[in-house]
Amino acid sequence: MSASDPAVDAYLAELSPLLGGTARWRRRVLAEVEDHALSALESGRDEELPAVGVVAAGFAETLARRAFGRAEEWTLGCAAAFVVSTQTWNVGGVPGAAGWITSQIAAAAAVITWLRWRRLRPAATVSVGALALSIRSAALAVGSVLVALALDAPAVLGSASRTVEIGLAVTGGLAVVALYFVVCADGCRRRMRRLGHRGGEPPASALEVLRWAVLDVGGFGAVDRILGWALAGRMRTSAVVGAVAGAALAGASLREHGLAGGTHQALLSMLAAGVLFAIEGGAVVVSALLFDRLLRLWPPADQAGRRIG
Amino acid sequence: MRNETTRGQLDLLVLAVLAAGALHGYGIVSELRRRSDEDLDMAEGTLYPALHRLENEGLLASSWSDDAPRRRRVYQVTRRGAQELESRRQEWVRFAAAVQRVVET
Repeated sequence: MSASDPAVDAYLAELSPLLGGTARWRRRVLAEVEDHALSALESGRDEELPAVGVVAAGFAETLARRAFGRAEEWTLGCAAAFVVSTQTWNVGGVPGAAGWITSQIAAAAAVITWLRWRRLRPAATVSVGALALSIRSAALAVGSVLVALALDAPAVLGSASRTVEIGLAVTGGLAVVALYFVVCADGCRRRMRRLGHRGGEPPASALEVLRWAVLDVGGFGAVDRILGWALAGRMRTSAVVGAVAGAALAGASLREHGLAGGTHQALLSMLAAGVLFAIEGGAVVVSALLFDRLLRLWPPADQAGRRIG
Repeated sequence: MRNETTRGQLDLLVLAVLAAGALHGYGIVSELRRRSDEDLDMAEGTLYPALHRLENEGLLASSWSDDAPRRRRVYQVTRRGAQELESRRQEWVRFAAAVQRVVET
């Protein structure tokens, strides 16, 4: 059997434009598929070539996973660089507040991206829906960083030290690369959908992925039964996030004022931290509701009363 | 055997077949059929994406073979792949034994 079998050649010609990816990668895939098809013919087995769309959809998933794996790494890098950089910024007013809010959105979205990808990565196949939610959270993280940079950069550069300028440049560079990979991953996901990719588990809510982080570790059975698992989980999430934020604020307050002013001063500082904590808690709840619309934090209403997965 | 059953254990099957020695894609399918007395099969659309994924994860390594009648990509298990195979094999044995106990009672 020669490599110029007309049926195989026609098959490869049909497959090639559906593959996407780099020219080098396409050549490799086509060579492997050709070898497979010719080996099947040589073996004398009566085998049909699989539908071109099915094969192409499988490879589209390969590209999507690879692109999203990189997108996730760069997104985490850019979010971390952003959070670290903002510690050296001294921006007040509206840009300062916007930077503060967007940095938290970026950090939360980056963490959700990381957790989702940890769950999806080892799976044999990833569904288009699960990939879409992961891409959306990465896009939100990177987008938040870029918006904050655009808002804060003029003020930051006005009073810049060398360290601040470097932090700004590194964060901006990382964000642009991350955005590139997010766009690539989304392009591959669209191709998967166009080719009718099937398989992979339906997308889980972030609450299921975040189970360990929302104290879903047993011992809350009665609460879960009364409130429903999703609502109880939602409350645990708020409690965990609130406790972390509150502890951070209380720690910062104590660090700033210490106990030099006596217990009375320390209590006043703690009270101020408590007020900030309440504001933060409210912002967390509002953000969580908005996040839910975009990134599906909680299971759908019809599944809210039971554990899933 | 149902496709979903094979797909669920895809990585284990591929690693187990390749543990015996390097093979190209069609060779993996043939070996899988042979070892399973033709009960298990694997479609191209499933096999190659899985091979590429396992290679990305460092569990497989691949190279072009020169001693084939045409351009042919050959895969082999890496050291990490061998460790992963052992871990998945143990997991599978426990799982299969548990299912067996449930089904037979």
